[in-house]
Amino acid sequence: MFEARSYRIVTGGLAGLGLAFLVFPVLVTITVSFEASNFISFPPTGLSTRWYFQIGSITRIAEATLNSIQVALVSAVLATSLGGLAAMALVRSRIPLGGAVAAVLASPVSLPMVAIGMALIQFFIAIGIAFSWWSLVIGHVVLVIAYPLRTITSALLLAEPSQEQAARSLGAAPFTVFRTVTLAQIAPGVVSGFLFAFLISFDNYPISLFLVRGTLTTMPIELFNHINQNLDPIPAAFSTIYIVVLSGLIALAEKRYRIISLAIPR
Amino acid sequence: MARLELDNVRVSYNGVSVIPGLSLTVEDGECIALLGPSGCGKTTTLRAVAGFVQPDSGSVRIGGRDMTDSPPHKRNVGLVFQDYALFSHMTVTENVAYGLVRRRLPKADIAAKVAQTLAMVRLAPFGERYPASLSGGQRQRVALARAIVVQPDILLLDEPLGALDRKLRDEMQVELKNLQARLGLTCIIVTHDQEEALSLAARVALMFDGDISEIGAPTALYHRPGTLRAMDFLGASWSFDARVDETRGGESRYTTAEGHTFVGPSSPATVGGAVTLGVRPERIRLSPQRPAGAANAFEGKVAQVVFKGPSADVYVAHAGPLLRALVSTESAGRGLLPDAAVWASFEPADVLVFASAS
Repeated sequence: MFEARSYRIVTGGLAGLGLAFLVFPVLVTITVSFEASNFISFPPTGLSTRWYFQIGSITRIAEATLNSIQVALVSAVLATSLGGLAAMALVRSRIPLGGAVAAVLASPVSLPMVAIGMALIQFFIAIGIAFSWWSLVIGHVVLVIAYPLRTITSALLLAEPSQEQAARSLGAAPFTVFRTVTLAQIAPGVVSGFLFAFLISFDNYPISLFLVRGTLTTMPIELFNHINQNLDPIPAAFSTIYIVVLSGLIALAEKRYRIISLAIPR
Repeated sequence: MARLELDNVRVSYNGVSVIPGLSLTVEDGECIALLGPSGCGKTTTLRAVAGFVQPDSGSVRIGGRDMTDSPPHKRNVGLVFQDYALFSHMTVTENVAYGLVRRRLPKADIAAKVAQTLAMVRLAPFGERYPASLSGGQRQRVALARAIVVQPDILLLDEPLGALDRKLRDEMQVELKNLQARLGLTCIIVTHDQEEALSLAARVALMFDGDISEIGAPTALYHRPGTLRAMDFLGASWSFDARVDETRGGESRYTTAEGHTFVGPSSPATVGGAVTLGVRPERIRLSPQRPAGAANAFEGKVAQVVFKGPSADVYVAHAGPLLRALVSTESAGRGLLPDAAVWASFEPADVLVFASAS
């Protein structure tokens, strides 16, 4: 019954609509970035690439983007290392209250970001490190650690412990086993966790809003400031570059580590 | 290769005793099988030898050295897992070289040893392949090559043929046996499959409830099991409760609960004592008339015939529980149809006598 032609047309149509809904904003952004007039409009009134040459007119955009990349890189490295270690402990050893520990580590995902931002800045002021670069990184680690924790946990659960035991019996000390066998088995989880952490940190506005002041700033903060005061398509041009670069990165990671199809065993 | 001694090894998980106290010696170059139902502690014993399980007490000695507290990577024990546990991100060559690299051998030596071992297991052309692109039998041989290339003191095999299909099992059985003999491997095979144990090992240790209940050569164990449970496990047999009527010479006469009178080897019990008699299905002969001069024979009716290829199981209804006889397909075809009257007979020497549990 479910193989009926009409059924397939309906489900296929619905799936197509859903995908279109997801892709549409991206297409609009890209189209708008080539707008000829001074204001955002859709459909475009004329085509031009001039906004791409004016990205530099967003206040401190170069400095802010560079800082966002640095913050995202360091946060992602820290979150992936710490989240990975936590995942190892949660999956491989019987730690007391393991479920509770996992829930606490994952909690920032389910809390309002504004609340986390407020709590973090009050905490940083109390201990005297507010508005420093490292406080911003620590704030982002708190936010993103849940992602690598999750992806590495799944990867560890999929990995065969017997491979590690085989390596042990062949003369490999525990750390060598981790380096030569475990890491290769969980690589897709590590890479996807790192990418998630990087992207979420790089893109974060609500938490950064509380944590930056003065010379410390990030890309989303400056982009929002610009949008607040201007209606020109420059942010669309910036976003288009952003989309292209990130899509390339994700495609590369998928090709090499199959991060999207992680759940399908090789 | 080396001698292995387990001395009164006790293992428990979370306070539950799995192995109450097991002692076993495997001689240098000997191949022994631990055979038993799942949960009997055979895999735990294997893991204790490999070092993945820490005994509560007792000792594990390999080649005379106490290894009880040594971590797995310092024991020089080769392990072949049931699921092979090949490193999926490495080629066949890299898999086999893994243990040699850990032992920091020179590159040229590693290459030579890997090539030699791959040739030994007939996998020379497959060095650059990944495990995912190999068949089950090939993976099994890679796992074997990876374990023996490091010249382990003891080779441990966990259900080595369990994942292979029938034809491949038979081939691997022969291959494994040849390899074991040629290299003089000291090995322990853990299995729940009696055929695997009986065919591969020089001695078979039958395990129940965390302990070795019997140990001996495959033929002795099979033909003269010491307990009813052992006989049951080594090929389901037919058993019946009986009493000893008379003992004379080396033989005794028994009357079963169903009223059959059988002659068998002399009884461990005194006259009038209760025993359990067992007969293996392949020892029972079926014939249309009472065979002349048969000491043990009774009449029944064919209840069912189950075709199994070269042989057939014939179930015979009589006064007692259904009797299962294993006959060649050829003879099953002759007159052994359901409801046909049939005589079951067996030699006195084929009767196994056990002291009754009660």
